[in-house]
Amino acid sequence: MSRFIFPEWTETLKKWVSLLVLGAPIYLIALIAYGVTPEAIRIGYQPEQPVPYSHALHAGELGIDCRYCHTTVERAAKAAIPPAATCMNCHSQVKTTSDLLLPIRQAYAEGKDSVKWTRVHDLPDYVYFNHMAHVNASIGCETCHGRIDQMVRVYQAKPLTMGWCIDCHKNPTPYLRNPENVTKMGYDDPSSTPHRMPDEGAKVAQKNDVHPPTNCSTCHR
Amino acid sequence: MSAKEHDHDHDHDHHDHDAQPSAPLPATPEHGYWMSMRELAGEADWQQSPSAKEFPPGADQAPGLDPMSRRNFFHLMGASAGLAGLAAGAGACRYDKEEIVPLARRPEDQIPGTTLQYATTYDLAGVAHPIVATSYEGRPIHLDGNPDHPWNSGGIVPGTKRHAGLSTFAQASILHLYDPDRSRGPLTKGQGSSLDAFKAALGDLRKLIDQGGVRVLSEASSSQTIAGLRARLAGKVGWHEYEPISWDNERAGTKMAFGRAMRPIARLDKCETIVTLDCDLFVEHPAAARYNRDWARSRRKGGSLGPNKMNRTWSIESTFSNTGAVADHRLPLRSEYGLPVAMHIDAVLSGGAAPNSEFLKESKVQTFLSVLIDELKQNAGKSVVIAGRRQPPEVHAIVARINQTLGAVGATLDYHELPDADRPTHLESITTLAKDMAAGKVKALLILGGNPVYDAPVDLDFAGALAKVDTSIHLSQYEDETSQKTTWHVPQAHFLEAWGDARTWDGTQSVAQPLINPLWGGLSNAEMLSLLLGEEKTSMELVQAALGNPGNWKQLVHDGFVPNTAYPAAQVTPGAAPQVNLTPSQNAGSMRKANELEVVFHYSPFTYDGRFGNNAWLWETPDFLTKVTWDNYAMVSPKTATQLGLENDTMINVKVGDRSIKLPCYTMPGQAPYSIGVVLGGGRTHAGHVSTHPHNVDHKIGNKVVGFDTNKVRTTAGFDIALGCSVAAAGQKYELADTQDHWDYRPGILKDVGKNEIQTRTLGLVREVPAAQYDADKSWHAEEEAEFWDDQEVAAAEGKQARHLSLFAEHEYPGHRWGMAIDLGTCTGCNACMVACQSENNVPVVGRQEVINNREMSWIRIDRYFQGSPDDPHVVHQPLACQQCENAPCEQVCPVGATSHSSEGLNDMAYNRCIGTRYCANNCPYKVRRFNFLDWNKEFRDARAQVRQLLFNPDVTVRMRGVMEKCTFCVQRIQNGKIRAKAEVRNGMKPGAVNAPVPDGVIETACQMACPTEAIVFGDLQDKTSRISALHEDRRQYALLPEMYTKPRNRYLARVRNPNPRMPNSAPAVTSEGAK
Repeated sequence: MSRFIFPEWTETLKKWVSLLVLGAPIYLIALIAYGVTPEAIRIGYQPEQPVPYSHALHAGELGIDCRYCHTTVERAAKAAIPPAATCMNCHSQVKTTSDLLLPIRQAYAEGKDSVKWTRVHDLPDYVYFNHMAHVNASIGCETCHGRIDQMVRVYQAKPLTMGWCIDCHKNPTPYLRNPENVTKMGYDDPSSTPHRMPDEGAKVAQKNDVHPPTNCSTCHR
Repeated sequence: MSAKEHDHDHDHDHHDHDAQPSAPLPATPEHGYWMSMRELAGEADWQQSPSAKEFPPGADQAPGLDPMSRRNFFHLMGASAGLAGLAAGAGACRYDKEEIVPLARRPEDQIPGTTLQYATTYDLAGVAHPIVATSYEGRPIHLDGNPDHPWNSGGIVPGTKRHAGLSTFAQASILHLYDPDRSRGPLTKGQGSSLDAFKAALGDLRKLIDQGGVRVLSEASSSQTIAGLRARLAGKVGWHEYEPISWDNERAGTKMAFGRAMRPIARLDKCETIVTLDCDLFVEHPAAARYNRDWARSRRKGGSLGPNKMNRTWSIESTFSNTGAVADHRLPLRSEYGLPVAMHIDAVLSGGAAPNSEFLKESKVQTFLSVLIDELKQNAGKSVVIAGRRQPPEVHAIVARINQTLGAVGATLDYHELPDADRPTHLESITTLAKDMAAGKVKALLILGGNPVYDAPVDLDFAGALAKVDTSIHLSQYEDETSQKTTWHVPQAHFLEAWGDARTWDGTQSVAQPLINPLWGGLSNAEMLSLLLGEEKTSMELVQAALGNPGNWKQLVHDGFVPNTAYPAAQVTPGAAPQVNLTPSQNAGSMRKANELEVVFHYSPFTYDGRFGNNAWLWETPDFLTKVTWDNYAMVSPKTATQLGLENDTMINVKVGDRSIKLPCYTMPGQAPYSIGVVLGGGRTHAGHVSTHPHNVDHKIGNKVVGFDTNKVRTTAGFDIALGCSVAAAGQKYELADTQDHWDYRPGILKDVGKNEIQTRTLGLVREVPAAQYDADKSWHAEEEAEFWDDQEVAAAEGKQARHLSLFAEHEYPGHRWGMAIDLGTCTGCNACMVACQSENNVPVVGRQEVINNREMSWIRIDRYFQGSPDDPHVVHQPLACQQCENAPCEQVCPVGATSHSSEGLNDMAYNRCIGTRYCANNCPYKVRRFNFLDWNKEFRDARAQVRQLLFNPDVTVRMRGVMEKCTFCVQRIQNGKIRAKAEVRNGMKPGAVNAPVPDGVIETACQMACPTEAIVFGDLQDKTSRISALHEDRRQYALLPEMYTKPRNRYLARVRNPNPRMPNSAPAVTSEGAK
């Protein structure tokens, strides 16, 4: 009985197999490590909402300003979700019989059974974010919320991690914009009007004296 | 890991055992500062063992009645950590789904996430406390004083435009709103019932009204609404009013002097000499808010009395009051002697009948009174004498004569007309009622609030008399002792749940507006009376009818008061001195036999008269002087204790007449000999869970509730002062939850420094200066020259070498630099700051057992130092919170950077980053950091107690177990104030530069707002025109532990004492050696 001689290709296979065996854990660790980052977990979070309100329609196509509904954004920490009464400003005239709007009409009629929206942009409870501080310092809505005007159902577009916040707090200039364009979407796209001018951030930073703090107590308290 | 830890600890304990001090350390010198009797006896922890741990034995034990071993504790910890890990692993992928539920129609001005302020009024025993309540999305979360109310408007520190403090009781009243133990529905004979059933029963009762036999027993009330309803019942329904802590002696005394009851209110801001006779001006007095403010105004050098002047405060009292503690001269004297003392002063000043008491001839008393009387004469027209509520009417009548002779009336004192001047006193009223009830004359009784079964004089046997009443109704917030004995109990609305009105002590009508609907359907007193009258009006209709005219109703509600409604002042002249026969006891000398003691009843700093029996905030706020929490006790002078063989932390028998109770003994420095101070308000059997929780009760002596019911020895004859009493040791040990030796930072890291070193250090911590020296030597600074911190730049500019150098790079502060100043001269130790901090910062309560374990969480504590002999010591209060060091020792040692320096000079604390090493607390020289050994908020997650969560301030993180916390200078207020100020400039609402200093006074810390004397000032040092900048330049300013070069942002203002130079034994203010 002659000795079995492994064919030569097994030598190549050996290399690949050992590479695979050695490399698999590294791959797995890297995969999991990436998989649990806020970028992977949070970005794209897109919960169902009780009323299929489309920002793409209202803010995009119809061009309603963000502040028409989120009225408190310039004077309070929270950019309040509008009461049903705000919806009814138009929807007492438009789409008055739509089934989709039933929860809104009920809330408005009864004045108590509010619509329960699901929070999309959810920071940890020990983070005290303040909309008023950012909007008045001329940070655009889009910078943190993405192209809301293109979202049929709102999802989280940015990581909203501490590192991401601090990057901007250390160097806010690229994100600052002319105060009157705070709510404009697609502002960084040169083809849109209006759009960001090359030295706009620096000018606004100087005029508005923007020096965001990076103390712990800025956000945690 | 746990085994290793255990072994290591075992070694350590063993080592501690061996390391006994080689020789006992001698007692602290006579005239130095000392903190406790224990320290004087050389028994404080740091004196016992040179290597004493930072925390007392047992501090690292888990809670429990039979303490779990440390090993088990770690096992459990390990297990729960493992489970938590699993849970975290599974749940870490996404936060819990959260819902946003906007109001269907948002009311105007209601902005989610912001607070709104409303003026309202808290009514404590018939006296209004004007309040501004902060409401967050419809739920009240914090109470402050109303700075626009005429009763407490106006600042004290130069530059302050509006300021109002608020007492601990008024602040803590908000806790009851969310108390899960509050009654939730009517009861009849202990069975649950309904409001409709009650209304039906009340309908039957109404038929009795015309036949007579229906009575109302009300808590004290100054409400116009109640008065109106009462007038409609007059002639048909007998009305009685009762308060266990009452100022009716003052009414009776003024009636004696003037023929009708009047209300004296002093103008302390005009007084150069203030004399209190067994009277506390600052906490117990119903005019405390005004008295605090006015006293502080004339107390500050260059305050209301003009340049270089300040008042001199004298106090004659049996037990230390807040007033006695800040007085320049204090004479500890039995309360019983109030009468001969008043007569003596009157005799010398205006030739009344002179008493011939032996004690008046004793040299100490003689000197004190002669110097005092000379000063009163000299300062005639600029002085006032005020007698306390315990003193009999005769004393008040004589004091009225003294003030008349001094020319005080119209100058430093006003007498106000009272609308109900002819009502019987509370004691007479309840006595009549109890007798009528016992005699079967009362068919039905409606009790509005109060708790007479618990607090009526014991000899009236109110509970027994109540059993003879066919129908009794108790309207109260809790199913308390009285509700157990009545046939009906109906829940009473909290003052934030119903409309009401009340008058401040000067009579200004104040409006109480509700901020929330009754959580459990309570009725207000007025609504109950309205039901009794057969109508069903709401509290709003009733109050509006009583107070308002429709034109200015909105304005009234907005302001919280009706302008110009104070009781009118009247010119009155007292008649001849009342005929008084002094008792043999009052004629005797001060040495007494063991059965000739007096017992003096005190309000409780924790529960007032028992009504706050379920208030955990108040229970855990240490008494201003004894520093005891969660208890009531008998205070005995050190000499009397020695003589009678009584020891601290033991039970004693207090015998009053033929009744006796057991109480813990507290040897109280400065207590008058042979006078026993007994604190009321404990031992409530039906107060709620807080007062019966096993962790709050000492089981070793078989106690089932917090404290002891001292009403059991309180009789109509000895209602305020009981005579012929005796005390004896009961032979049981009892551990008072006393915080006075906690957080003692004087020994520092070196425990075996000895008494001299401790004394030297203490002299640096508590700085005082006699007014004469302060005036004569304009170059005097509290801060010694050697302590001036020239930072490098300043030194270089002056061509000098900087004296101190830090190992670490100095910080730069480009913008705001927050700072605080605390004035030791005007701090009265009233504890308002402690409760305000607790409310604002969600500071947890830990319970009695955990206080004993040194785990109390208060971010601001008030260190109290005695000076001089324990028989007659002086007292200094020093509120101490995080000093916000510029070179903070805590920051360097945190391994995870959880505490770090902010660009504005705050020592930030990021709870979410803290891993609980406690290195920072260990390294803090001021011992102001607090560690969450346990999850103190656990029970608020139970379904029963969830309602309590509504009280949390949403702007402050609720801390979990295992993290460190400390004062943040109310960083949430700083951030919100800054953001608002910047936003207003940026969006053009206000002119100015974006990073300009926030206007002084816009950002105020909670403790600052609560302080009734404005002893705490906070502000921006960047702003050179701010009050804080001026105070940090004041000659009185100094820092704590300057030798550590921590550069604290919190500075203290040395206390200026104003002793009369003729007083021989007034312990001179000890100034630190190096001060010029």
